[in-house]
Amino acid sequence: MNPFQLALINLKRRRDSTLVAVIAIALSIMSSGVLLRLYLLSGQRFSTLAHGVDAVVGAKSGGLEILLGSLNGEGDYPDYLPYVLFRSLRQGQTVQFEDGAQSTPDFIRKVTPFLYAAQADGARVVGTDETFIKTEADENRPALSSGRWASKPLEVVLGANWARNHSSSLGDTVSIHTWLGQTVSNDDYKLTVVGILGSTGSVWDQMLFISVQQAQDFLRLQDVSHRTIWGVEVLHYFLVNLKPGGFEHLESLINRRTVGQVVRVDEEIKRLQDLTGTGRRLGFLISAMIVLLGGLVVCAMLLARFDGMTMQLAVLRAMGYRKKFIFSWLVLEGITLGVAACILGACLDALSFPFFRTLLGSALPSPSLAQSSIFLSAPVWAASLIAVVLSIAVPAFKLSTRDAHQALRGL
Amino acid sequence: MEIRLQKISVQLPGSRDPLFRIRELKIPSGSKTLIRGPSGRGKTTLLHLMAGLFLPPEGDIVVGEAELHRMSDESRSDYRRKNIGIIFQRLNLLDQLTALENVLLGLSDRGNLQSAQKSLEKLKVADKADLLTAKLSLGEQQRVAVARILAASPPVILADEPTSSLDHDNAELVRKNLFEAASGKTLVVVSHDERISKGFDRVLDFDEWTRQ
Repeated sequence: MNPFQLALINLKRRRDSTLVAVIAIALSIMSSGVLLRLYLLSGQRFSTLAHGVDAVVGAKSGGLEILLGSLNGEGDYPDYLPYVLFRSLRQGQTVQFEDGAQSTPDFIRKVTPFLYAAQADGARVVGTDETFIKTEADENRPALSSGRWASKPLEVVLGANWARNHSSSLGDTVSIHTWLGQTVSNDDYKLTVVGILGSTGSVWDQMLFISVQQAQDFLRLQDVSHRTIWGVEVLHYFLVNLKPGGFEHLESLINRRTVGQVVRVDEEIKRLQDLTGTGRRLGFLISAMIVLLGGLVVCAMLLARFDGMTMQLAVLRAMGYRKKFIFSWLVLEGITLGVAACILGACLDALSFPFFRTLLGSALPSPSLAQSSIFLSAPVWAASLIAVVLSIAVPAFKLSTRDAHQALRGL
Repeated sequence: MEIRLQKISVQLPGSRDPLFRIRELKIPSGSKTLIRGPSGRGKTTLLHLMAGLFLPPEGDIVVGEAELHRMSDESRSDYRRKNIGIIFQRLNLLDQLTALENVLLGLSDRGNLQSAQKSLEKLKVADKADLLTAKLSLGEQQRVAVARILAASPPVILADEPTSSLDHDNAELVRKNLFEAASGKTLVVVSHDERISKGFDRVLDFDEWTRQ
């Protein structure tokens, strides 16, 4: 009988305690793995934020809300801004206020309109114009990888991920449903794909883009009178690129004298990181503790198991079995148990992770933007196997320091 | 194989006084020796000494040509596996193994399935061969422990109270088979069971003899 056969027999015949050990270790591996993956995902929570914008103007609300609503495509349906204000900013026209004050926005380099108008398969459809895409001066904006910009009615440009996930190409038609407030309507509009954006690694990859005119036409189909006094002549955000030192002027103009609020993108991102940093550090601490506890559970389970076998090991020694044989038996039994628990734990991890991810909702990046491979849990599996091997160290130490006589006599 | 112990003093851990001293003890090759004495004096410890399960701080233990006191722990294991069979006082069968597997565990190679089955038959526990030893009665376990030695047939057999948990008939069966297994071999039995005392070449009184 070789050590592996003995290990298998022992695992099989001590079925109840083997099952309890495997399930306990597997649950510990599952919870540690899920926590580790959630922690890693939380680090990517804002990695999908779009780049290439200095400031964003939105309806008055929180700065973070404007930032995430525009550059991360999340949150509730936003309030409107008047299109006329956008036009003034773009054309650098002098703005005349009721109190007689005037402002000439010559500090703006580029301003891009942004209006959520519809959804396609859960992804947001944005009304914007050609200033949205990459130019020589704005390297960080998305570029067209094929086709042209959507400038005519019923045309659409696709984000890279959306096109790939739906296997869409130029000339295909895409179904969209108009979106207003909490409601995504059941109406179905077919748009023709005229362009596909290159990948940016940001939320833009998951969106669809139409002309502002088309977006406002979709609004016109619905009753917006209770939402806006400007009819359909509205936008949700202005994405602004500024000349140096221009933010203070823009802030003074927008925040003090209009219905809008401007936020500086880099400042809001820093605020976001400060706010989430504490939570992440706490999350890391809790995850590390759970992984450690998991390791200890593994150790405790196996220690108890191997400790109960002290007399048997002594009998084998007395019968003339070498320490190496007995040590191999323990290691093989521990590793078999550990590997079985790892496989079960990984399966449970894979099965339960989507549930936990859904439970945390918007605290994590969307599954379409940030995948979480089961193999990210590999450090937990490795830690568990190390814990298994460590737990063998105690009986192995006893085996090497106590002679068979002492063990048999219980000394 | 002759067993020779010389100038040995055994102490319990933490005790200053020796448990027992042996000036010289020779068990002739092929003899059958019974060692008797009250409990707690060190009879089992003496048997473990002969098997090389531990070494005293001083003294010689020689089994056949092998000087156990000069050998490493692993070398003593190898020697014991080939030459010495032990029946323990508390049986000490592996309870997750069947009776047959326990007997096979005592054999050097696995090919000896027939001799394992035969020895179980001799001890009248062949019908229990596939049962886990935990499910056997104490008497049946005792007979499996003896069958393990019978199958392995080592040159030296050391038995610690081999009939302690058996009724009269089974005690006689075990005694008979033990003697049969020990035919031409060296047998040392530690026991205070009167039923097993017949048939030995020598009977040693543990107390008298360790006071020499």
